[in-house]
Amino acid sequence: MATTPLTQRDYTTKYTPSWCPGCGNFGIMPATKGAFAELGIPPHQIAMIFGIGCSSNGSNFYNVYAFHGIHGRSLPVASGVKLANSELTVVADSGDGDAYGEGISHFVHTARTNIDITYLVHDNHLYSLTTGQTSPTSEEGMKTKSAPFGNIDHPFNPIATAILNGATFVAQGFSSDIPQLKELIKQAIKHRGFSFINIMQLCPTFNKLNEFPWYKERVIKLEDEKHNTSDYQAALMQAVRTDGKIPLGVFYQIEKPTYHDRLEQLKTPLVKHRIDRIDITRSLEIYR
Amino acid sequence: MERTWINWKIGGPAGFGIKSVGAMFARAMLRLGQYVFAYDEYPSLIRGGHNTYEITVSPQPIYTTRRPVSILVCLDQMTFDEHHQELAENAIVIINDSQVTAPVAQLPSKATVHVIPMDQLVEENGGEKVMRNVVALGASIAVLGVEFGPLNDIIEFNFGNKGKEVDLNVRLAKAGYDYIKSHMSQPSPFLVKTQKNPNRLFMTGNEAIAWGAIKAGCKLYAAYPMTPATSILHNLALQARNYQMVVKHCEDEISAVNVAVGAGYAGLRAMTGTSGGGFSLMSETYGMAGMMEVPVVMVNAIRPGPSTGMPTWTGQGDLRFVLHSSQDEFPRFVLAPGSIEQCFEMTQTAFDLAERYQTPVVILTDKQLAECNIWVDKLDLKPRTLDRGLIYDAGDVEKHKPYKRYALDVEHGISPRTLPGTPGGEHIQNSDEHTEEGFSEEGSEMRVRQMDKRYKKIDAAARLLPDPELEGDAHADLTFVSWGSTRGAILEAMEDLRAAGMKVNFLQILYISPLPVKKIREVFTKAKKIAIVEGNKTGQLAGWIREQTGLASDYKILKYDGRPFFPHEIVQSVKDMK
Ligand SMILES: Cc1ncc(C[n+]2csc(CCOP(=O)(O)OP(=O)(O)O)c2C)c(N)n1
Ligand code: SF4
Repeated sequence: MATTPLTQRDYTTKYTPSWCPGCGNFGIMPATKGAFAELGIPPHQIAMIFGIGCSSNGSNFYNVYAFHGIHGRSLPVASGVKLANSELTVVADSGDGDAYGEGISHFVHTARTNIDITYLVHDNHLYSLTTGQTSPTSEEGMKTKSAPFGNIDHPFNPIATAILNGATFVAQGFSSDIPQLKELIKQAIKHRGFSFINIMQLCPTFNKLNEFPWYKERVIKLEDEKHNTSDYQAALMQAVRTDGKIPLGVFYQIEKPTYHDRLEQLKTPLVKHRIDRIDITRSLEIYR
Repeated sequence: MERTWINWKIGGPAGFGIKSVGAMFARAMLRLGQYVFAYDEYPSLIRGGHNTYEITVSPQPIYTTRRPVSILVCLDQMTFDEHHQELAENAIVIINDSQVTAPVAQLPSKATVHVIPMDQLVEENGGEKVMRNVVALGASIAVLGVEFGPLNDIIEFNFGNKGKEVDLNVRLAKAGYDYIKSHMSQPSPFLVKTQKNPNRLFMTGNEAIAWGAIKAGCKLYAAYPMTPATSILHNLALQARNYQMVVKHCEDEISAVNVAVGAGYAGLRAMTGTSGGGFSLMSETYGMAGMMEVPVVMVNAIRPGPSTGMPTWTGQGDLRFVLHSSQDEFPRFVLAPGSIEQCFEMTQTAFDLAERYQTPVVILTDKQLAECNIWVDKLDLKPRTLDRGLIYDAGDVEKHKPYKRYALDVEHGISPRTLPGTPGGEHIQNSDEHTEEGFSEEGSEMRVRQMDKRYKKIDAAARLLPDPELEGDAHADLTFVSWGSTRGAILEAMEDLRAAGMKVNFLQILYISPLPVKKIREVFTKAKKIAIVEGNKTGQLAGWIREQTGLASDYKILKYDGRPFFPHEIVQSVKDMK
């Protein structure tokens, strides 16, 4: 049987996207679907776990096993799915509010497990679905509906946090550079272990500070800087740059045993274990 | 036949092996063919606190702790000071001569005191101070007029293959035993006679839940420690390799329940467990699983609350909480086992219900059941048919095109699931209100139809689940109604009431939701008088029954001091009824 190559259409539902015109999500979605297609992963082998937010509404537009959960909790659900069935490609997909606000502890702790899932965070520096409040990555001074006189909190650094906490693939993409983002997503999915991409995203409706020209002035490519992705300290230095530049590309990638590598019981996917005749008779002897 | 029993209680500073010596005593009694119920009281401290462990021993089946205390072993003064008022008239008090004084004025009139030079015996036999508990154990066995043999076996069993440790402990126990034998001037009123030993088990509710889960094919347990649910985590963690499951200690309860839901969605039998505060954190996800129709089993082992409450004590205050936890409405499946066997059985049932009805199922227990070691004659270990529910494979999907995850026109509200990995079954699993395909949908008509579909499950389950049986006298003067661990105290109170010439029976509600409404109506209409017994302040089950049936009980017997019901308290309440 000849198999036709997969295209983005194979990952697309009949539901019409509800995002605003010009939304960065319109760049992130094709990059993601394009990565799936080019890696040749059939839709039924993909589980995408979403949180709640504009980006997570994307769950309606992906023809895969999509899970539109609750705010901040995409990672633990994704871990549960991967633990159950390691044959699946598991992708967690959140907004920056979702990921670094409500979901911050899951982010840190999932990185530590080095479980083989990919985490895509749509970082538009705002809470958009709730109409534009400050998010953990909003810049100091940024005026939002919840900080009308300017944000006084220090912005959260997702890249440094991921590296510091054991993520084994850490990258940054940009919603307007679809080809590069697609390549990053492909690398992230292929990577064995916890892979994370912070995706700089435009939100033309609410974010009037971080618009395309603003990014244009600041983005640089790590490739061009001859950055060594296996150098932990160099990666951290890039993550904490103070020159106002926004590096895109892979910050850090290393090989390390994954969560599944370290547990013998996960050698075969748990869903494939037989469970209908489990005999506990002998174990109960300790209760006599 | 009137019941005979003894209550042996040992107390000492935390860290002095009170629990382990208590367990050895209980096991020795078990091997003598006795029925044993072990109850421990401990504060929420690791060191510096005062711990007690009490074991009720009886030749007849027993279901709870009995008071007063027959034999009190005091390793420290605090044990005597705090518990001497619990002593029976003819009690025996065993004290360590260097540590404890038992003033005659504080003793019941017929009590006997045995003063044992525990520290000296420990030293003579080359042990360490903390081992005086083992000397006391030997002394206790001697007081009961029992051979030393079973204790010897238990010590070996307890220490496994640690040869030297076994020898030393046997020597110490023997020293205590011989000391009593040579100093006892009159026979003890508490003699234990050997009965046939049918190889009874001795386990806690949490252990029974853990084993029920393993037997039911639970492949993933995700949790964050919280007393009194923690030992489920410990037990399963220890067995994870043996039974090829994953036990994940998560960063918090929110993560734990979401990991379990993720696994349930992917086709695994998965469980999480916690106590009230943790359940509060899980509540949003509890609703999510209800909305998305994902199977998951959640254990809530109740402690008195609200907030952090009394971590190491017992209560039944979370019934309403679990019935209403999480926003809005969805069908609730809430199970309430009241014995070790029921913990074991109902945990297995919980997985079947969760998968059959694609829904979260909550098992409610409490500290009394979760942590007390109780005899079990046997657990049913036969393999049983698992109900995995309606799951479409690729072939089914092909046959029933187009596949709709939340199809409305289905029996019992059960739409077929497809598991990730199944070709053709891709869909969106949605916590937003959704269409039959799973797409987010805010139309009023679809909202109503999906709500109604979800609620069909609870109606279907109500028709299918077995009714509780009325235990006791057919024509009773008084009918007890209760749930959970209160069962034990009621069964024993019934014995005492019968001995006093009263006719009584008991309806234990095993399924809080769906509530067996028909059976309750039948029992309430036939009963002369009804008393609802529960461990909370407001009579939560009574209220729930009233809400579901319009029927009220005649009496409520309520207790909410953090202690379990003792049979004599229920008897007293009945005597006080007007
Ligand atoms: C527990 C909880 N708190 C708050 C909300 C409301 N809420 C929905 S989306 C959102 C934030 C969205 O921001 P982000 O995650 O950055 O996603 P974006 O909309 O920007 O893509 C919030 C606060 C919620 N759904 N659940
Ligand atoms: S509000 Fe912003 S993030 Fe949301 S859809 Fe519109 S442009 Fe996109």
